[in-house]
Parts: sequence; C-alpha cells; structure tokens
Amino acid sequence: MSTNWFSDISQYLGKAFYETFQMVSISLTLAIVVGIPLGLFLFLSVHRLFFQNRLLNFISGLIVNVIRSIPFVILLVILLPFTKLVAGTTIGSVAAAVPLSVAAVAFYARLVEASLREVDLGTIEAAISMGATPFFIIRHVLLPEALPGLISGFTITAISLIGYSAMAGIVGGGGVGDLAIRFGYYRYQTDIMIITVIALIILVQAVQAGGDYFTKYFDKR
Amino acid sequence: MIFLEDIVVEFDGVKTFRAVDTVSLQIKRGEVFGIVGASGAGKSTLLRTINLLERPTSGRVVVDGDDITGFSGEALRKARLKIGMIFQHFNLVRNKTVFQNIALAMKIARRSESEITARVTELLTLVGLQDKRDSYPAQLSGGQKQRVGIARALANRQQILLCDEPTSALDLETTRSILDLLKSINLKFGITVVIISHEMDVVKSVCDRVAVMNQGKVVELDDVYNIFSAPVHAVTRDMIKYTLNFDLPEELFKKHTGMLMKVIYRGDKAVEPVLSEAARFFNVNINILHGKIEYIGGKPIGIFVVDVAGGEFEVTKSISYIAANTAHTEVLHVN
Repeated sequence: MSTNWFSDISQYLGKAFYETFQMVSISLTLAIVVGIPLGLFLFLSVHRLFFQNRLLNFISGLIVNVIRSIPFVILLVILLPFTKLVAGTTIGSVAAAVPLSVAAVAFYARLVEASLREVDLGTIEAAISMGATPFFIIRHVLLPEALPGLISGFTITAISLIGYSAMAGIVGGGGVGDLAIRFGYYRYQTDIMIITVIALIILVQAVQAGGDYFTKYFDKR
Repeated sequence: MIFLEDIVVEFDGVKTFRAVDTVSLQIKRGEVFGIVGASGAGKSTLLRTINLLERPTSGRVVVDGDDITGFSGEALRKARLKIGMIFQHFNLVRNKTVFQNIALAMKIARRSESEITARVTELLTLVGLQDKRDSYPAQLSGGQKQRVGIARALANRQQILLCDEPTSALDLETTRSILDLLKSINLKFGITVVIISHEMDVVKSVCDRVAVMNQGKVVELDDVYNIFSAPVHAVTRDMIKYTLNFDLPEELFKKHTGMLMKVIYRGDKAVEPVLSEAARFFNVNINILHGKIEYIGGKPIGIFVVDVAGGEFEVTKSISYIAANTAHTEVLHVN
C-alpha cells in the first residue's frame, strides 16, 4: 500500500491545494478590488468630514449585513443562478469562487471600515486644515494610516475563505477542505482526513504568519 | 490681518448650544495673539472658524482682505493653504516619516519634488530636527512631534499660524522651548500667530495681545501687560490669580498683629521708594514679607506683601498714600 498510498494522497492533495488556491485567490482579488472601495464607502458615507449620506450608508450597510448573515452553504445555493450568469457554469472551482467572492467582499468591506475608523480624526482634520482634497486625504492619509489594519483584515479574510472553501465541494469546487470531507469523513479514510487537516493547519499558520509579518512591517505607530 | 465679525457658532443637540457668542476680533499682521479661557469657553471653536474647520452659524471671517466665510471647495482649500495650524495632539500621520509628514503639506500645494526636498531640509533645520528626518512620529518625544507640526504648518510659507493648545500635552520645559520657537518664528518671519490656551503662563510669555473668553464671549481684550497688571473682568482676575498671587503660610496670618497689605505696582513706578516715603512721611514701620517681580512683554509687574505697623491714624494715612502711588493695593489682614 505504501508507495501507492503515498502517490495517491499526494496527487489528491496537490490537486486540492491547486483548487483551494484558485478559489481563494480569485475571491481575495475581488475582496481587494471591490471590498476596499465598499469599505471606504461605508466609512466615508457616515463621516461629517467627507460626504455624509445616511440613506446610501444604510442601504450599503444593509446589503453587507444580509450577505454576512446568510450561512455560507446557503449563500452558495442562493447564488447558483448568479454563478451561472457570471461563470457560465455552476460546477467547479471557478464557479465556487463566485459565492466565495461575494462573501469575501462583504466580510472584508466591514474589516476595511473598522480599520478606517481606527484612524485618528485629528490627523484627518490636520490634512483638511492644510487644504487637502478629500481624494488626497483618502490616498495619502486615510489609507496609509489604515494600512496595518487593512493587511491584518486581509489575513483574517484569507483564512476565513480557506475555511469557507471547504463547502465548495457541494458545487464540485474541490479544494483541501472538500478532500477532508469526501475521503476522510464520507469514506472513513481517517488517514487522509488527518493528513489534509494537518495540511490545512500548516496553510493557515503560514498565511497568519505572513499576514502578521506584513502588518508589523507597515505599522509604525 | 484676521478680522472676525460677530461670529456665532451654535451646535445642534437636544438643546442648541452656543459655543461662540457674537465675537468680533481684529488680529493684526505679525502679532502674537492669545485667546485664553477655561475649557468650554469656546476658544478652540473660535480659533477653528479662522480656517473654517468650524463654520460660523453667522458672522464673517476675513483673512488678509478676503471674506472667506462663504468659501467652499477649491476656493476654501486655496485659502487654507495660506493658514498653518498646529494641534494639541500634534496630529501627525503616524505611518509617515518626519520628512514625509512635512512634505505632505507641500504635496497638497502641488510643489515639485526638488522644491519639497529643499524646503523640508530648510524647515528641519529651523525646528532643530535635522537628525530626525527619517524617524517616525512614534520615535519622537512630544516636543519633537510639535516641532514637526510647526514645520508642517509653515511648509507652504504660510503667513498665519493657528495654534490650538500647542503646549497642553507637553511638560514645562518642553512648553518653554516650543513657545520660544513660536516666538522666534514670529519675530523672524513676521508670521501672525494665534495661540489658544487655558494656561495664562503660555500667553504671558509670548503674546502681544490677549482676549479672555468666558461662556462663548470675549470678556476682555487688551495687550498682555494690561491684562496681567490691570485686569478688569472677574474672569480675567480669576485666571491670572495664580500668576499674581502667592500663598502665604497660615501661620503668618495667625501670629501677625497689625496690617498686612498686598501692593501691586506697574512698570513705570518702582515700589520701594513709595514704601520708604510712606514710612518716612507717616512715621510707620513697613516690612516687606514677600515679593516678586514678573516681566511681561518686557515690562515689570511687582507684587509685594507688606506689613504696616504704627499708630492707627498713621497707618491709615500711609495706606492711602501707597494706594495713590501704586497700581493696586489690597488689605489682606488686620489684627
């Protein structure tokens, strides 16, 4: 069994890691591209110093909250028509990346908003007193000051997505978590389950350590 | 010149709160102007109307001939470029170096990289932080942070510097050095400086003129020497009390027999001749128990506690003589 077992398991794991990587990287990219602007919007629209708009803030906040309230498995199913529309299919890791991205955007947007709130208002006010435009303040004061928070939030999002991606198996997305469920749990192949779980622990540890390093590197406070 | 006319600032709340109540002020070009008052007196709000960080509910703000009250958008940002501001908590960008913090102000004014490098280097020398160019704010002391704040506020060669409690987060010695720096900048470049503070000692040492605020109103405005030597309003008296008073030991009052008097004299008249004349003319004994001379705006104020002993009639006569020849007298104790 040994050589066969070993090559089988490494093959499974390799494929699963590739799928996880694919799903998580697609959704993380979208978390940055859409989640940061959305988080900025959530922050700026409550702020007297920028463009206060209670209605838009309420609506965007509500959408984010609704997405975040729905358990991911259910979100996965609800979004099937949307997935079909965007990815052209509802099966496979690219298709699974669609609901993952939706969840990631909502999740990260809140973390972005929270880290922007941490920025000292006095610093923003100083920039206003210097005659800076709102855009300049966002670009040169708000985002640089919030950067450590943005990075640590990104790390948290990445780790949550690795967890969520385990549920992608439902739509045939594959991935490391799915491997553990299918082989380890459904087929009672405890050895595979243990190995995949260990692999996941190592992966999450590595992501966390990397995130912590960059957070610390950019935090001069 | 800064001209504030009938400034009212109200804050909405359960009840409308009037933080600044119909204040008119004229701050001359090149002077150091102090606004003092207890916390909640409205001084900070008033200061912030000068660059419209706080928009007055009514009234006009005129800076160097421009009525900026109605300004917004680009026009307001342009006006703000000419007004520097420093803050109690410095408000530096914590994830930027000293150099980058100062450069930020010039970037806002769209200066070129080479201009920025040259000017920031010059400013670092001015505030004495040449060796801190690449440090982050967290690596600096409070005084050094405020120096960065000052450099940043002058980066675009602003002619007006607003100081919002600039030394309230600093220890005594650092306060001294920051105030000296502000004064030297004022003298060197003729920059108009507006300082608000709740500490009389701050305005005493650097200001030319002082406005005293209480409950949103300016209750007294005069040059700094008059504020300290001849305060008119009760609030002013209360505020300078710690500068012009000294606590005498209780023992002194208990043991003492005769008349204890506090005498304040102003610059032009020295007190000692008056006292010795009084002693000579009316044949009383006058002893100085305590005394100090403060120099405010280069002019002395003397405060003495004296003991007058002698016959009742002579004492009364001598006291009225002293009162007639000094700025202020006050009987502290009769026994």
